[in-house]
Amino acid sequence: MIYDTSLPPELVFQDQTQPAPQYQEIVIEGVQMLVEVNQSAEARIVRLLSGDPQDYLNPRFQPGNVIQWIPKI
Amino acid sequence: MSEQTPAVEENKKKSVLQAIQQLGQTNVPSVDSNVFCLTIIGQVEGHLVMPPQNKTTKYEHVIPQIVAVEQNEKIDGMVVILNTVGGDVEAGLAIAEMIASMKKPTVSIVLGGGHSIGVPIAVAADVSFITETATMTIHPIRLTGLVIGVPQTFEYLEKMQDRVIRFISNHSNVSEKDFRELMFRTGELARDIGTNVIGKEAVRLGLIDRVGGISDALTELNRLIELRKGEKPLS
Repeated sequence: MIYDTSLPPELVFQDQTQPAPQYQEIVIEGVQMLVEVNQSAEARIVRLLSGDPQDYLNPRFQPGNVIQWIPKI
Repeated sequence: MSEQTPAVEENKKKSVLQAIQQLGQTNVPSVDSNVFCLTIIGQVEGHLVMPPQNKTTKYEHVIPQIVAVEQNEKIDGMVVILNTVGGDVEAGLAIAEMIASMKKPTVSIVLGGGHSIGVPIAVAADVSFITETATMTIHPIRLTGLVIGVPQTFEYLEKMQDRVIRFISNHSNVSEKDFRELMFRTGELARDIGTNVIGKEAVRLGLIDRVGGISDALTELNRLIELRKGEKPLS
């Protein structure tokens, strides 16, 4: 791979054996976001991946908010 | 008493925040903004998934978004916001080419930093802005993994480098020769070769069009949108 980055390579390619947080991309109400999934059926919003600036004003989609998911039966 | 009402509403809002949400709802809110906001942050991620401590902008997100912007009638223009340390050359150039080939007006604004492969993305827009305090690091590309020390390797790297340099000189006012000089200058960056240009300096070199903030960028974008609307033949 060829990289053009201002960060030193040792910082970018740190030890990959360390446990990584469980991130997942989901879409809620048409807004794509990155969430951190934990053991209980909960997910915390890490960041939005939307291009519509208005989505970032939605109080429900603020980073750090917890979403609970209920499996549909 | 009346003063308490907003507080109660605030609490209600908060409970809504934590409210149970169901997945898979497709209630798309109406789009109020006619401007699409593309943020390029952290590392530009390409073919390899980066280690999780990196904040990344993935090309599989960005490229379809650009296609959608170009196609969607409700969106009139795009503002590219950059605060990136660079990243994958192929992915960076792909995003830059996509932005450069758009018909809809685009402006870019460099906030904080628009380093390395962020430079071609910044210059790809119709008009580029940089805030007074933002910086751009210009330095040679790196090859990860095993580098075999034969002349071919250097030739290959040189070729890859030329793609970046050519794109930048084609889309900005800086010449190929000047940019190459900036890229290989020694003594400015600690432990590395290259240059760091800040705000006005980037404009003076011709790399970026103007110094300005978000209002300048949006004003310019709206001007370009109006200009394009005027050009459209009446049908």
